[in-house]
Parts: sequence; structure tokens; C-alpha cells
Amino acid sequence: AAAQDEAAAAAPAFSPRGADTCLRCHDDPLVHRIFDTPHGRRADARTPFAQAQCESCHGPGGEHAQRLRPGNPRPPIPLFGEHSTASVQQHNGACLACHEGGHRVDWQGSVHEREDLACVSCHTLHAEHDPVMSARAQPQVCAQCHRAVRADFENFSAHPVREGAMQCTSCHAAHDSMFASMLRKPTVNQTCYTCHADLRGPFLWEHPPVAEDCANCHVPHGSPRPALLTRRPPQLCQQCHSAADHPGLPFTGRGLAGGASPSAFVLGGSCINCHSHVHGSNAPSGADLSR
Amino acid sequence: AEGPNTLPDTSQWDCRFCRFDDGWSGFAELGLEYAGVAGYRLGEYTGLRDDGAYLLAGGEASYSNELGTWFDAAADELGLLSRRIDARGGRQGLYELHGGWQQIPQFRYDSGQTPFLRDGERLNLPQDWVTAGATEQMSALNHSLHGLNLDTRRRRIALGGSFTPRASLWRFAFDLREDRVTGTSTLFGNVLTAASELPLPVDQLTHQVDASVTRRGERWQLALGFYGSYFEQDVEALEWSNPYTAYDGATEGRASTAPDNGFNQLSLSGAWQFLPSARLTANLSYGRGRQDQNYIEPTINDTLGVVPLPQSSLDGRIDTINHLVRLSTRPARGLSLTAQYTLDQRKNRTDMAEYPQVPSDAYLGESRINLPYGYKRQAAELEARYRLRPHLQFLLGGEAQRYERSYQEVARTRTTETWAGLRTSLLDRVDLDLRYTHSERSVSSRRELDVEGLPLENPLLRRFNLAARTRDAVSVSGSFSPHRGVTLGADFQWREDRYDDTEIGLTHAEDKIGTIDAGWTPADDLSLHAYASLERIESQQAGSRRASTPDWYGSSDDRIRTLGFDGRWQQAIDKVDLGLNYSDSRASESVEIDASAPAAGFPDNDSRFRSLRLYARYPLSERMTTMLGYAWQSLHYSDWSLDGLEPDTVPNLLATGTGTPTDHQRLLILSLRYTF
Repeated sequence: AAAQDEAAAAAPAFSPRGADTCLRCHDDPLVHRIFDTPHGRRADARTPFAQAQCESCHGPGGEHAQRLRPGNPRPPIPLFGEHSTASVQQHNGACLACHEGGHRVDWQGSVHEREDLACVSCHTLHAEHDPVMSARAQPQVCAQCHRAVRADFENFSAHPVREGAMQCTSCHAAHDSMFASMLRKPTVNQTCYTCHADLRGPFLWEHPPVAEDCANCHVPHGSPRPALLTRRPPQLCQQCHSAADHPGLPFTGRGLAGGASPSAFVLGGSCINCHSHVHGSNAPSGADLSR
Repeated sequence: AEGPNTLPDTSQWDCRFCRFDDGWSGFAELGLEYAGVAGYRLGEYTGLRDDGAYLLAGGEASYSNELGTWFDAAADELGLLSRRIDARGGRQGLYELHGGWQQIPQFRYDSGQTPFLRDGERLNLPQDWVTAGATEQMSALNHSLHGLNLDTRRRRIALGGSFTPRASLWRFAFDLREDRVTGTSTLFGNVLTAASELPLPVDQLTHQVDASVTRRGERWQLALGFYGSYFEQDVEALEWSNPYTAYDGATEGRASTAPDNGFNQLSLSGAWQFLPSARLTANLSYGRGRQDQNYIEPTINDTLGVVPLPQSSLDGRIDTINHLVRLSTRPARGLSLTAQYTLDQRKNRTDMAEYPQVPSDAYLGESRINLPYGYKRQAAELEARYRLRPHLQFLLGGEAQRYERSYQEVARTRTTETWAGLRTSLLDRVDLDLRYTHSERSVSSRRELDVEGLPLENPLLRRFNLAARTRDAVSVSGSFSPHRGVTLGADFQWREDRYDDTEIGLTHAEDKIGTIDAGWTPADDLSLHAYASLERIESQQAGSRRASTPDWYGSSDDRIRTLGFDGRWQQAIDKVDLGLNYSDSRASESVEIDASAPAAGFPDNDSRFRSLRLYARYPLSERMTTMLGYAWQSLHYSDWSLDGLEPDTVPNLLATGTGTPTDHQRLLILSLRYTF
């Protein structure tokens, strides 16, 4: 019992009246927005305001709230304060104490965790709507770090993230994905098939690089070429097909619409003009992917 | 800091100053968007494709009560084709239900032309059509052409929920989704060497289900999940009249469309914190894909008689196995280690059979055996991070990967990748992150594929995804905060792939991108942000006319520049809030072919997209706000594969001749928002 008393005496003190102590000074609309959020619902016994109120997340504020002698600096609140000195792990620990289950189960060891990302690097808690949870605002949050990806989405051919019809979390799981590139599904193709199930097959006549990895020919975010292609046909196809006859021929500007000899190898769909089932064919006579 | 789990005595914590906000809140917005000039392609994902007025309607509603019951609903762009409604609610901590409806329009081109007339899954030509050997000789072509819009709409319905019994460590969750895609796309169809771009009716339906049950212990969690996806296609095949002079009775063509298919996957995932500083996580997924749609006949050409098939459908089966096991530890102060094993396997269990071939419905060709391609990828990764000082961290890692493939000329590749990095903070104002990665992929087993009917390839060809490759990559990322409210950030990423053993195929690829960001928040009610990026993507390849040594070389060079600006100023003038957003993205793509002889080059393909949005918001009363906005967008795109291509430009390609879009869009927006 003596040891327990000693430990209790050593533990940081909480404020005398909880949130009422805090809000005497922090009477700011921004602070009060916490009551518009799930964290501010007392009926759920798991929430901060059903427990230690502000100090559930910000840590014991006894020292921070104490009366000070004139000239003495105010000690910072332990967590999520402007001058808090706690580490990223300590800050995240406060969130994970409640939120480690469910989708956050794999947070520890995840790419974002290893990169020292704090939960509040992405999440805004004192807001009725956390921007990262909003379809339209989420890409801007992610782009704070993933600047090159933002540029990709500005391309002529891009998934409709800029328009708000998709968001980063349509394909990526920011908290817990153990999969490459933090994808929601174990592989690139399984992720793509969640919207493009028509390309899943299995087909009678498969195109091996397609069945293996969509990213062999497509970029995921945006490209200056149609269909988010990595390169333009016929050159794209000729990186893997160089048999004698037309796959091996060099196609030049002579084949353009204004050229000497407008060519189906160059114009329109190029190779696709005939080999239209490039993702695979289920037609018995479609071995050359033309049916 | 002491963990927040140590609860104080809160019996006197009345929370009198807490403004718990139970009841209803939200807003409703109604107005008009007037498109003075609208562009088809600029309305690709919104539906703002025609000049005129559009209803602007949307809103949000939230409800909560002291029992923890809550409800959130949002409606967006109800007057546009991109309309969307989402709703969710429940009892916090006990259950949640959510549902939504979303439509995603996709407008590609409104400038296409075709002589084909649709009759169900068949495309006919006008009765007075005169076949010819080349498009320019098709005498009825010009007067038979009619307009063709290429657009689709995806309508998505979603329903889901979760349930966490009180005082229980169980959690149950499910999500259902239906996607229906309808509209018109194109499919190319050929008869011998003459092709036609055909209007393809699209009517596809996909159902998905995602369900999981989770049990959580003090130091562990286990989840069992099921994912199912089922695709149905209403258009099972496309038949068309051959517009060209028919040889050997090939007056018609028929092509398959994407077959109905289904995929079921079970996954078991878990985490175990077996030591305070060590955690084991794993995901084991087992999936099975099936496809058994009845085949179309080998040919529509009756003159070839009955062509027997070995079976009436594929009965295709794919088994997927995905394992991932990760161990994360912090064995010493400042040191963290992560070890990971990955297995991705696609086992193709589809039976092989010999199928007679009727190439392009024209003649009976050599039979072919279908090849059930599969692969197995295994990777082991180890990464160490050591924090020498609070603001100095080193990173070192490596991965060994083995890829095995069936029925391809390379049976096995091995890749070793190593990386090292440094992260530091200087003077608490500059953060710097440097990383270098090197990887080597080697081919450990090549084989000759002895499959009847398989086209002979150039023996010097090395396909880039199977070839030996050396990759180097560098990334540098920095941020600087010289003053409170001012942030500057910059990134540079460089990656080079060298295929030194490749004589034919992709030989070199390089990608460089630099970005800069600047943010300034001089006051709580004013924020400004600007960004810019430059990217260059290059590649080189070699080809051979005679399936021999290289006799021509190709290169591709993309240059992409983006810049943007965003500003928000609340109560800028009296009570008026102002906002501005501008973005400008420009790309050029250069393709060169060096065929050792004078040859015409390709012009650069250029694209440029610019967007400007301005708005002013003014409060008319405590609850009513008005918003006046102006938006301008401009799209220019040139593409030598489409520019100047008319239906009869190429003798053996009857194209839709969509050309490329150059669109402008101007919108004036006026709305009223009522807040409750």
C-alpha cells in the first residue's frame, strides 16, 4: 500500500475540475468543436468525455493548469499542445490506447508508423468534419507529403480524385495495410479489380503481364497518355513483342494522318486496332487477342 | 507523460462549460450554376457538358442525442450527373449503419462518327452500304455517318454496418456494394487486316461483399474476413457487319466481351504483442476466382461449316494465396527492426485444351492450346532504423525476392534490393530525409517454350518485366519552417532502370521529379498555399525488323509541369469570405524512332489543363449565407494517333474520328446556404 501511495504521489496530477478547468482559459470556438465530434459524446463510455475529458487525450494537466508565480513559464500540457515535448510515439500512444483495434491493428510496423507519422499529422480532431475523412478534402491532406502524386492527378488521364469521385483511400489503407504500397488488397490487380472486375477473368486466352500486374502497362495515378498508359502504343507493345513482320517494324511519322502513308499501326488504337482484347479474350478463336 | 489510461477521480468534474451539441445541425444549399461555355470532356466526371443552367443542391445534416444515438447525412451535387448521397448513423460504441448512392459519369468524346446502326448486340450497316477494299472507296460512308457520343455512367449503391456488443471484445462488420456501368464505349474489330472502330454498348454489373468478425484480447487481435466480388455482363458478344469487301465469306465479325466471373476470398489476420517491444502481425488470404461463361461460336462465318470445340465453356479457376507475416521490435533504445515475409501466388488451375482457330472469322487456322499462366512471388525483407539522437535517424534495409512463372520464357527471376537513408532535423526548423535504393534483378532460369502454334519471338527479346535489371533510386525530401505560419517543402525523386542484358526491348528508363510547396498562414483567417512540380520520364528501346539484332531504336520523353495556388481569407472585406484556387498542368510527350534511314518524325503530343475558381461568401443573416462563385477551366490536348484521323483516313481502319478535345468551360455560381 505504501508503494502504491508512493506511485500515486509520483504520478502527474490531473487538473482540479477537468474540462471546466481547461475551458476557463481555452474558451475558443475551435476548442469547443470537439463537442461536435464522436470524441465529445458522453453516452459512449469509451470516449474522452466519458472519462478524463480533455485530459484523456492531452494528458494530466495539473501542472499546466496550476497557478504560477509572476514571470514563471507555464509548463506545457503533456500531449497535443503547442509546446508539448512528448515524442511522436507518445502522442500516438494516446490515440492507440483506444484506437489500436479494428483498422489500426497493423499500425505498428506499418510504413506510416516507421516514417514517424503522428496521428495528428493527418487527422484534425477539433473539427466537426475531419478533412482526411472527407472525399473532397482527403487528397489535399495526403498531398502534404505525397507531393509528386498530387502532380500525377493533374494529368490529362487520371483517376477522378481531383473531381472528388475517388479518394486516396479508395485504393490505399493508410493505417494498417501490410500490403505493398499500403494497398487495400494484397496485390495491385486485386485492388484494381474492385472497380474493374470485367478485367479479372480468368480468360481462355490470357495476356501474361496483364494477369500478373496492371502496373506493367498502366500507372495508377495519372499519365499524359490515354488510359493511364506508361508509354504509347505501338512502342509500348513493341517493348515485349518483336517477332518478324509487323511487331518488329519501326513505325514512324510516315504513318500519321498527314503523313505519306497513314497507317493503322500508328493511328487510332494502333496495335489495339486488331488485338482489341489486350486484357484477355474468352473467344475460342481469340488466341491472338483479336476476338 | 503518464498514460491517459490512469483515470483520476472525476466525480466533481461537472463539465459545466462543455457545449455538448445534441440535436440537429447542418446546412442546406440551393442555387444555380450557369455554364456560359461548357466542354464535353471538361464535364467528364461532373456532367457539366452543355451550356445552360444547372441546379446546385446539396447539404448536410447531423443529429446526436445524450444516449449516443447519432446520424450524419450528406448530399452533394444533386443537380449534376455526379450526384452523391451518403448517410450513416447508429448508437456510438454499439452499432453503425451506413449507406450511399453515387453516380460517376465519364464523358470521353462527343465528336465521334460511325456508319454502324445498333440493334441489340449487333451492329448493322445501312441498307445502301457498298463494301469496298479500302475506306476511301466506301461510297456510302459519308452520308451514312451519324454522331456517336462515347460516355458511360457508373452508379454505385453501398450499404454497410458494424456491431460491437456492449462489454464485448467482438466486432462484426459488413459492406455491400453494387456498381452498374452503362453507356457506350468502343471496341475495335478486324477481318483479316482491315479494322473497324465499333460502338460497344456497355451494361456491366458488379456486386461486392466484404464481411469480417474480429475478436480482440488484451495483447492480441484476430479477424476473420470474407470478400466476394461477382461480375455480370449484359452484352455477351458484339456482332458487326463487315464494311470491307469480304473474302472467304467473312461478311460479318463477332467478338467476345468480358465474361461473367466471380471471386471469393477468405482472410485471417491478426496481431500479437508478445513482448512490450515486439509485435507479430500476419495476414493469410486464400481466394478463388471462377469463370465459366459459355463460349461464343469459334466463328460467325457460315461458309467454314461447323468448327467443333473441346468444351462449351472454360470452367476457369484461379486460386490466389497471399501471406504476409511481419515482426516489429524495438530491441534497444532508439533501434527498431522490422522483418517481413510476403507470398503472392496465382495458381491457374484452368484445364488446357486445343482450340481450333478461325482468325478474324476469315479462315480456319492452326489450333492453339490455352496456357494457364500463373506465378509465385516470395519476398523477405529486413529493415533497421536507429535513432542516434532525437533528431537524427539512420535507416538500412534489404529485400530478397524470388519470382516464379509458369508458361513463360523466364521461369524464375531473383531480385535483391538494398536501401539506406538518413533523417535529420536542423535547428528544429529544417527536416531533411535522404534515401538511396539499389536493386538488381537477375534471370536464373530461361527456357524454350515448346507450345504448338505459339508465335515465334525474336530470341534476343527480353521482356522488361522478365529481364535482368539494375535499378537505382534517390529521394530527397525537405521541409523548412522559417517562421511561425510559414512552411516550405521540396522533394526530389530520381529513378533509373538499366536493362544491360537486353538487346531487343526496353533498354533504359528514367524518371525524375521535383516538387516545391510553400504555405503561409499569417493569421487564423488567412491562408495561402502554392506548389509547383517538374517531371521528366524517359525511356529507350530497341527493335528488329527481322527478328534479329537491333536495327532501329526508339525513345520516349515526357515532360510534365504543374503549378497551383490556393488562398482563403475569412472576413476579408467586412464579413465577406474570399477564396481562390488556380492550377495549371502541362505535359508534352515526345516519341522518336531512329530507323537508320530518313524517316518522318512524330510531333510532340501536348496537353494542358488549367482551372481557376473564385468565390465570395457573405452572411445575409445568422443562418443564411450567400455564395457567388466563378469557375473557368480550359483543356487542350493534342495526340498524333487521333488528330486528323477521319473515318476514311486510313485505308484499312474505319475509325470514329473523335479527334482530340480542346474545351473551355466558364461557370457562374450563385447559391444560398441555410444553416441549422
